[in-house]
Amino acid sequence: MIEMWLKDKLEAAAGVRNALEDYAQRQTDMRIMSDSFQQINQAMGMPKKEGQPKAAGAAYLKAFVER
Amino acid sequence: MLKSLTAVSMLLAATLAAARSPPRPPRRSRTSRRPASSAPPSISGNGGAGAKGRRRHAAGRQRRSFARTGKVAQRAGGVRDLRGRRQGIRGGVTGCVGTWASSRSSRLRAQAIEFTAPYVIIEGTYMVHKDSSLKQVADVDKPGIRIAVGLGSAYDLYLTRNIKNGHHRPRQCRRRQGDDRDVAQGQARSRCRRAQRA
Repeated sequence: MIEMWLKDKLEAAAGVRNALEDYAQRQTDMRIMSDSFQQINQAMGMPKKEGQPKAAGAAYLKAFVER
Repeated sequence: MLKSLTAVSMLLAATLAAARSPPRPPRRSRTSRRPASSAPPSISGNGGAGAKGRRRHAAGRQRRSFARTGKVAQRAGGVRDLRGRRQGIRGGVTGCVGTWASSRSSRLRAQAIEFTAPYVIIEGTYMVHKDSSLKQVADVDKPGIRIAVGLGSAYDLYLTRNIKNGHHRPRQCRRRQGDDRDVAQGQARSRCRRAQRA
């Protein structure tokens, strides 16, 4: 993707911030925008039973993530 | 308590970002192989191109997130691998990794799944040359601006749907050399040539 960006002299390269930063660190003439076009929130989840969360498991997961 | 946890523990990518785009009819793409219309929502995750692509792009934060899923599964009495296969326990702890890029599927999944607060946020953004006149994300979606995109990535799907004025070009890769999509005016056209085997 980055090779194509360089080869075809495209104006912008889209990517995941971490991956772009990894690349840009090794270069001197790249810049990464401070804002983003998309944010993907990674969460954990448990299946609901008949529309209701399973109380103990969901509470355990929540506590785990927040710790 | 542990018993119910042991039943299933999973990692899912909850997407709130695509809120800007109105719900669209389901569209087959490389990032969502599962037919989007399948209701009730499957909780097994796609684990296909999305997970693979993400793993390829995985940087520090994401790697830690995988480690965390492993940890919670271990505490619950079992171990799962990245593809969600059960690892040596009865009853089964399943972990799934997936990326979904539409608010529609997020809402569907919320009917069947109780989510925690997000523990990591993956951002899609742009890299430009240092002296480029493009300063922020809003500057990019303009006529004449071409964007390089990893073919089949989660943000590829997002950009295909949301870029209105610019041109968005998925990366050429081994299998689909010459693929070049023009999404000006929101109309996606796709041109594909079979790659000549090297």
